[in-house]
Amino acid sequence: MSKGKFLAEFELYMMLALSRLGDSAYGVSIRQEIEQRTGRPVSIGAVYETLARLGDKGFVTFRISDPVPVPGGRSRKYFRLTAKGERALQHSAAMMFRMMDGLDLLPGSEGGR
Amino acid sequence: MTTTPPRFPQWIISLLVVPDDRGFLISDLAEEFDSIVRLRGISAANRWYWLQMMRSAVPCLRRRVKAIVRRKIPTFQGLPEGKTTMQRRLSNLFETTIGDIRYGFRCLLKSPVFTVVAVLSLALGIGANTAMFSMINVLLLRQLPAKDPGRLVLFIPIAPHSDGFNMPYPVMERLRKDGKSFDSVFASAGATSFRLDATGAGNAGKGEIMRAEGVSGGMFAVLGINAIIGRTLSEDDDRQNNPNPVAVISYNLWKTKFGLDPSVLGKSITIDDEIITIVGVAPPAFTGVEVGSVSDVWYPIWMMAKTPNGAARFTRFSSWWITMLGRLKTGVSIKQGQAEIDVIYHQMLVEQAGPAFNKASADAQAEYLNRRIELQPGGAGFSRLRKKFAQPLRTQKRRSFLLRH
Repeated sequence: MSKGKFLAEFELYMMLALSRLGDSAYGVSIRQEIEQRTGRPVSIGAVYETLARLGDKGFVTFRISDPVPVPGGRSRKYFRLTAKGERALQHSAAMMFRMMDGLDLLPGSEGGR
Repeated sequence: MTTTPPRFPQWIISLLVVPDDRGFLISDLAEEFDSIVRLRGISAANRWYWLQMMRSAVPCLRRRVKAIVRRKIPTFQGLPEGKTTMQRRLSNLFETTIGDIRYGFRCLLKSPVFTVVAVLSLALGIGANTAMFSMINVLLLRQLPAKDPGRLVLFIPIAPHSDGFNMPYPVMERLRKDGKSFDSVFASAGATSFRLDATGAGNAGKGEIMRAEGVSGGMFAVLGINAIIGRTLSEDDDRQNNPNPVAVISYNLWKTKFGLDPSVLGKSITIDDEIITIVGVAPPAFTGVEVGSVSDVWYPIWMMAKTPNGAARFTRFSSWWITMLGRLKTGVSIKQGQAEIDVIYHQMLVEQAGPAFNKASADAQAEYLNRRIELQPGGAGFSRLRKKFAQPLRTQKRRSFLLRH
């Protein structure tokens, strides 16, 4: 796997959020998902920038929805992982687990073999 | 309740974000803003929006710049895999630069005292340099809003009775008649203060203080400046005992006193007991030929002959009171114009001295004939202040340059 196919930390969060949200992943839901789970402030600008970068790598694709059925409702840009993106996420997650294996890092874990 | 996000941060974000995402990102922000308003109130929502704007600025800008770079460099497009060397280098350069800027800001925030001192020093330095440049620009660089200002010339007398600008009216008439190097020349008596009575009722001495300038009828034609409404002065307006004196007013006077009313043409104003008809309005950029002196009214210089002993000033060689500008003919250089003036002025000096010239000692003759009129570029108008400050300003400009480098 070339260097461009590895995921940076925030990219990994983004891919995990997309994987978790499925078909309802758009700017607001992705931002809130990462912010709530990591406790780290996330800006909408960073979300769109990272999604664009992942899109350039071929990991993410998007579709434009019909306008939301509320007064003044606008279209949303929904994102999802591509097959290539899912493989990259699995690869990164596997590497992460391999690196963590045997370390007492997660709260409540037994740790060590 | 319908609430709208604060406009300024929304405007900043919409400037920074790439056009493809602009609508979606702004819409996402508005959606979250609405939900925060419902849950925590408008103040909290506004704070949240501002914070989002500040945190989003760098990523949005980074992406925008990347998109521009990608669009401008064709080698970025249509590549099957990976990055080109140039793309990689530019990308690295960009990332490094942004990283450096962020690091710089963090360092500044960690040392607030140093930051305040540095910012104040910079502000003072920039302010002082800006003020200096503004002064240099006004006094030395800015050109008159004239047609082809490069061909305008100033006539600078080198003579004991002149203040460095003023000269006798007959010299102007002679140069206008005999000067072959010039399309035309004109005189200005400089702006003087008067009380403007805009009612046309002849109430001399009443009204606001304004500045009026007596000028040759051909001034506007020589400068190539047209009136924005009506007409400018003509040679025909500028004659002795003209029964229908006319004037051109400045755009500023038209705006402040007449409310930009086009029917100002034909109205009368009073200057020194003289009722004058307005025939035109000068363009906004033109405020006179003397730098630092703003005129509100231009009237024919021959009107000044009506003042006590006024007429004598137009014929006496010993009255030094007008400043003079002219336009060189196309293809004629200042050097050629100077050579012609030297000859004409020398003749005038000899003619004026009359028989007394031959009786004078050789030293007195040489000193008398040493008087001359010097031609100088006149595109920037004339300025007594410039003469006074030109050298100190140039020195200061050089000093600032040396200090900066």
